[in-house]
Amino acid sequence: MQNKNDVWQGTLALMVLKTLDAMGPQHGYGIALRIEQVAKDRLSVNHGTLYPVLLKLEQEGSIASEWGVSDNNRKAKFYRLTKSGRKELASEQRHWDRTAEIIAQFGAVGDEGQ
Amino acid sequence: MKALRRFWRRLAGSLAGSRREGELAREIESHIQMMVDDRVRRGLSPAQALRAARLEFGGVESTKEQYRDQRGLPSIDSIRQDVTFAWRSWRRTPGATAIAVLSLAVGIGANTTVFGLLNGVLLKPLPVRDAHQLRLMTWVGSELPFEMSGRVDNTPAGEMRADAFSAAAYQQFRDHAPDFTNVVAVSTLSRLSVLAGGDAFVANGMLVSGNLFAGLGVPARLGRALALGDDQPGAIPAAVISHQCWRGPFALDPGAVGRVVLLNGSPYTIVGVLPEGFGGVFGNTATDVYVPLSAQPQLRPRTPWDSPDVWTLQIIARLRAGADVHRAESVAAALFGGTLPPASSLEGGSRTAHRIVLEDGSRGFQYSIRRSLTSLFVLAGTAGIVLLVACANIAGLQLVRGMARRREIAVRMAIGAGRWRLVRHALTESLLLSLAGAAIGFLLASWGTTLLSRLFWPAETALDLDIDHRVFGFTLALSIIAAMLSGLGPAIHTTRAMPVADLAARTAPAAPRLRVGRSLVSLQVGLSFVLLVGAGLFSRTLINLYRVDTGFNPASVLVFSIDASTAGYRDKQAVDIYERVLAGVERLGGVRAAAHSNFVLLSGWMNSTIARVPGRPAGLEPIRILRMDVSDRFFGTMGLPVLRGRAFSTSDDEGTAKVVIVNETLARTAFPGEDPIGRVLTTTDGEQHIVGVVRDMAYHSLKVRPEPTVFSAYRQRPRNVGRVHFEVRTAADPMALLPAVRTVVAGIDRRIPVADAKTQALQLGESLGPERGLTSLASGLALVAVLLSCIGLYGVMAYQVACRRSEIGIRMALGSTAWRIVGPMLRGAVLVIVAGVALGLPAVIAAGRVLREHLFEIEPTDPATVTMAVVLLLGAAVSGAVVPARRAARIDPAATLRCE
Repeated sequence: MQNKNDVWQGTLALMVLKTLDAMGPQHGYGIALRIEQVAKDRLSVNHGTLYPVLLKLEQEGSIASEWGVSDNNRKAKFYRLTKSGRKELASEQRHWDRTAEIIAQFGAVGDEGQ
Repeated sequence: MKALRRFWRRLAGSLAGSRREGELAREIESHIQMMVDDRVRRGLSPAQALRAARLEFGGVESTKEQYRDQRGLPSIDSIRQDVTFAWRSWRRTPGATAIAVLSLAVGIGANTTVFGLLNGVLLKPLPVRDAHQLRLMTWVGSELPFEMSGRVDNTPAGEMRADAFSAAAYQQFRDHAPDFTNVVAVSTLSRLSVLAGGDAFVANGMLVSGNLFAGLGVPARLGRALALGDDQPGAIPAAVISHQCWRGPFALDPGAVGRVVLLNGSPYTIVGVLPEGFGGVFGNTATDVYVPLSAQPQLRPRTPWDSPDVWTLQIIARLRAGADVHRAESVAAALFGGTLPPASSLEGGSRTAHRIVLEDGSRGFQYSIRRSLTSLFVLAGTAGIVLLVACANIAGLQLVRGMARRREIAVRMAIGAGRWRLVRHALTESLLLSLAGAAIGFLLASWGTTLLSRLFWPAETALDLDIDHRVFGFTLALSIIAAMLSGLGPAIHTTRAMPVADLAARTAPAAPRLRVGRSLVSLQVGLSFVLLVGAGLFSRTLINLYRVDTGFNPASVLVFSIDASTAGYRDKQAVDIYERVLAGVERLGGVRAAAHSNFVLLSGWMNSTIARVPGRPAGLEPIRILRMDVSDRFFGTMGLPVLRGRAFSTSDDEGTAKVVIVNETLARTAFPGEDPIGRVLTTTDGEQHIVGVVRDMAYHSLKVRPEPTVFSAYRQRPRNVGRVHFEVRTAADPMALLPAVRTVVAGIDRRIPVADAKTQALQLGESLGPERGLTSLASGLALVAVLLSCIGLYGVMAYQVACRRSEIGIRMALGSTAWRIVGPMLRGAVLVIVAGVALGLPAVIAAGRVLREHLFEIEPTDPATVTMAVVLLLGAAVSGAVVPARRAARIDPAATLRCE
């Protein structure tokens, strides 16, 4: 379990937005697959935890949803990025990059200390 | 922004209900199916694939739960649960719920009705610019001018307070008072006769200063409003009409502007129509036609309006923002002092300084409304008591329900429901109830307010009674207060349960003695007692008023008035017109007799003077007499018997000796033990011979005992012939005769309008005015309160029987008689009543003091009325208790014991 990180909601939301941005409209399963794919076992996501995040994003207006048919003919709800979702993604991305940068710097300082 | 959007979505989610629930289930279902599909494709067996997929997805139910929490707003969701639960629990007991809602509806409806009226009367400002700046000018002093028209009140200090000013005083205020930005003057012209093609009609006219409409900020709806230029000597005579008048007689004709109409016979051009909401500055009477003050000499020729001794103007001043009121008043007083006539011309002679007092003018002048205000406050108090009784009733109901649900409450508390949640739950029930009551009450009020206003003021009273935000807010606040009053106590009381004890009880939880419930009923009884005594006193007052012997027969008499002087007839010519109208009316079919007089009996009008009896021993003061000028057949028409001597005849005219007919009281007062026929009275008209004595009759008011009254033959006082009121005794419905009467008058001169047409009986009813309204309403409300108290008592008794079933069963099994069981119960009920009456007695005494001025020939603590109220309450209580008590006595011992 050491190498698999628990994912908190905010991060998961960013991943969802990023996924939809990269791949276009996707159903919940597709989003989950994509996240697993990118994270390559470094991350464990219970697929169920996606749904509250999707709901929150939809309530905020970042994504919209409608029912459609999946590749293998299953009825599924498809989520797509909205205009305001795209804006949200950009600003979240910037925010995240800055945070990551700061954290990375702290790591560097720590390394020097050792 | 994002947060706000999310909030609305969640709010919507809360209200959307369970639709989304199924959608989520389907979505998760398809997700897992897709996971299974993939795994099967990779070679797992369907069962293995499903297991793996489930594992990877995580807890389906916990996902749903998390989703649910985010979908709506938790607080709203729980409120919704509470409301749903409350709704279900009320639906379980439809009878009790209906009674509770209805009693609240009556309570809240009554309060909203009275408030709606008070709102229209006291709170709504005139629809003019910055109404809050307006002040009414009044003066306080001890002398009246030679002639005035307006309001006069007596101050507690024994001075007089009036709002009439001379033209000179108005000019001073207008031109020399720096604290006022606008000073406008008005003077009413009642019964202005208007001829605009067709037959003439009567309108409420008003003389206004040229700056009125600009000063108040009232623009014309059509054409233009009157301006300063119209209010100049020599200006073209102009008038504006109200929207109501435009809609009525002018039928919304846009061509009305520019038309020349005859006002009291003189031509005026209508230059504009006023906006719809504006009814004038007299809160009670809507003004139809406005003419400039400069029209005074023409429209009121008999009043020397520019004399310093004639005060006919009412003045409204707009106070400059930030001005010091006291300074403004003293400046105005100084200006006023300079315009006063020399002291000698005033009644009393001596001169004291007049003070000026500014009154709030934001609602204009409210003459007749003021008189009814105390009645309205009495009614407001009554309505408040009814609502309290209803609340006490519902509190009792809630208490009983709470007791019955002790076990349920105990279970909920045992499994962890917080007390606050339970209290909130109970309050939600009360709130639901009172909101339902408020909704119905609001409907009742929207219809009742106008109805109520009709009881107090005549239909033509211009009151804006539309429901506004204030009335709505009042109803809402009232329903919340009612919910708190009726719900909070029981909620706290019933959640004080001890789960262990209640759950341990083998059967129904041990019967609590319901001491609280009984005191609630006592409270209701006390309040109902106050209402009953009040209603009793009002009814007795009304009965006493109806029992007053009017002396004449008011049934089947049509009264109406005409004024020939408005068509230019003077003195002898006018008398001639009236003779012709009388002759014409008498010839109509269905007319038994007709007469006229200078005013109508019981209309509130009166005319009094001083009479002396020559040859009376010195020391006997001159007597104050009431007088009336009547036509020949007045006494016969009104059914007023002539007891001695003769009635008037056609020979009593200007050429013959002046004769009068007096009433019994005058005969008794002025000529005790003597025959008054042939004796002489001296009044301002000189010597007059008494030729007859008529029965005492009600003169201007039923509330006043007969006073010495003198009737004169109108033909002997032609100078005084102005407006004349006709009385027509008919065989059938008097009002059915009105069209024929109008035709007669129009046939003689169509410039003379028929005014004030009504029946004498209606006039009598109107003279009872507020008393009649108060009585019927107070009695109705008291009845409701008593009914509610009965229901409350019934509830408490029935509950006790239910709780004591097993005990009663055992006692009956052991050989107790029914009476031994029922007796103490009835005794308990009577005790509750006695406690309630004792509680209410001080309130009854206090209320009596307030009501005194509304009562007629009955003491506020009239023993018969109080006794009657107590007996009624006892009867109601016993009947409310007897059913449950009988049920107790009929309990079959075997059945109850088996039940255990």
